[in-house]
Amino acid sequence: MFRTGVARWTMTYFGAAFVSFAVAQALIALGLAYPSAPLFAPWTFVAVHLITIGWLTVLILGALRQFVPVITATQPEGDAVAGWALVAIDIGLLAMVAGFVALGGNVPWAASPWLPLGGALVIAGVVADTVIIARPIWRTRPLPLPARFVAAALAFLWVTVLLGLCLALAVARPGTLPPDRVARLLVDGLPLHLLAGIGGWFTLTAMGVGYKLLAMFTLAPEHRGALGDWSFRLSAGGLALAAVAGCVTIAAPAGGAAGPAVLVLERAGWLAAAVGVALYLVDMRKLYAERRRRELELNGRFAAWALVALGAGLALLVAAALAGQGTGWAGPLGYVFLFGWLSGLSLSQLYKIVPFLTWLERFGSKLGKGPVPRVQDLVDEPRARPWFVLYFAAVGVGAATGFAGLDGAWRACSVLSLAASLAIGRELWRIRHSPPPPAAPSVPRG
Amino acid sequence: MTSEPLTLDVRDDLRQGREPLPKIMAAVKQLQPGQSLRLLTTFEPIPLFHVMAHKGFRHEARRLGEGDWEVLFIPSGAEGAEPGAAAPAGTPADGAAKPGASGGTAAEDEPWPAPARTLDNRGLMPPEPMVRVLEALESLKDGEVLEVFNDREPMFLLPELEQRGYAVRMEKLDSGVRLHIRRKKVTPR
Repeated sequence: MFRTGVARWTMTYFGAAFVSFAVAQALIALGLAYPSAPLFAPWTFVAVHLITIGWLTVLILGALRQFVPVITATQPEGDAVAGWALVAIDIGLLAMVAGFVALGGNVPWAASPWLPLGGALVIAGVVADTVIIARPIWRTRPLPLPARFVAAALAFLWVTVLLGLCLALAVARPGTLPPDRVARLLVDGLPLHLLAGIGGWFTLTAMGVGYKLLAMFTLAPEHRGALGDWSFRLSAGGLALAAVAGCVTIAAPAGGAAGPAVLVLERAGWLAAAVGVALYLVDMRKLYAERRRRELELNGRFAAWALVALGAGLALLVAAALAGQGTGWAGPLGYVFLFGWLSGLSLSQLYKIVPFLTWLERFGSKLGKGPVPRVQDLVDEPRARPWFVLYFAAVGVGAATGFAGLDGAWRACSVLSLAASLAIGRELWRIRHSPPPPAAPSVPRG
Repeated sequence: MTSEPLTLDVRDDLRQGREPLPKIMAAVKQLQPGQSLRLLTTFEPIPLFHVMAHKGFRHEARRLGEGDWEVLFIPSGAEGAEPGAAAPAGTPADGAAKPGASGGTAAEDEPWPAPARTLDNRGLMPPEPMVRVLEALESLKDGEVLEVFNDREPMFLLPELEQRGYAVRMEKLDSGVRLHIRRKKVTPR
């Protein structure tokens, strides 16, 4: 084990996350969940939460424990807490799955205890993890740009899980809340839960991590200037405004509706966030253009594909808002964000993070004392590349068939994306577990 | 402009399991310009070294016996190096005030000699800067200083240098950081 700041449990988080990712895609491929089942069907809830909690949240929390020390120049801390937090999150997720399945009936247990219980366990794990991640951020103010994104994202993570717990109570134990509040929660709370989760927690984190990692590994300037600042202010501020307006709507007195001013605020928030994300995409294009390392490695190349998915998702979201497509496009739109942008970016960056950490652990202490292999000697990009192409192609075609209403074709695409994910998982496994490659004669003097 | 270092003893806090960091950060805020912080702890606070380096302090640590440590955090003087100058700056990054009569580690107090060798790692992708520094250090003679220009603080390198017994003086530049590294002197006790 290398003696420097490699956070313990990070790889365990990645492994656990990957299992959830595969199971969720298998549910879709087998026709148990959306699009074969309705969007609000129990098995769809299972698949969605396996993706959002089991895959993306666990993956990001594991990565942040390693990543925040790098952007705040501190050492990773809280190893013991992180181990227990992962156990709490995954056991909580299993309980939630049991609760969702029970919503559909046909099982000999009730949803009522399992959903809130599972949700509470997930919250306990998430709170523990966010505390150990947020402490170094808090200590190193004023924050660099990527850390500002992460700090805002952590706040949205709390909003997301707390709302999720309220929703779990509304669905599983409606008796605990006033009847009109239950209806209000389900109608207005669910979109807010999605906004805070996909927009606030996942997308803001991915934006911040993208800024730092892609600048580091393509040798582009890290200081993004006014464009980066405004991309942060508008996206995080706009989402916060929309979230506050949403909370006001939910908390409005029974029978009364929130006033038109609240609706205007909410729309202004959405618009600002859309402009912020658009500025980010412009800045990312600039970052790629300014990079000093012309030859892109696999992670840089496919991160660009994920950014294209973010741009497409944003354009479709705006189009849906203009066309008044409320929930009609919700499924395919969510798919573009969760599978194209977030999972696509995650898979591509894992292909850099896993070999980097593996190399540090294996060879860090041998550096300078004899020849060691290079990080790139641990990977086989030509072998992995076709699977990344297949993954993004399957998700792209899948989304198109989803918007066209061809659910059978969409499901077929999910079989392909599952196969590609499993193959990428196998590549990551090989990076971790293959015998060490021969040592490079010496490091190229760049 | 040297004043007596501000002394802060957090050994009792640590023994009672209290988090000493807020107290330490409050003490840092109280420091006069150019004033050092003398910290007494029950262990070598390696993570704190990075936090303080980030705030522009270099450190000198010594064991006091019975497991206690004395760490002197010395503010780096703002002697502006030429940002982006690829040529080695002739003077070591030692604009720091001399510690007062604090019984500091005399071995590391004096100005360091001019660098025996300079590495410019700017424009190299991680982890190459780290590999080059650790390789270069192997060929360094005792007492010699290696100067390194990096795009960013080498997060994985700093604890490794600490482990391998090297002292580091780091300075932020407009175009990244400049490090001076040499083997720690063993203070005769």
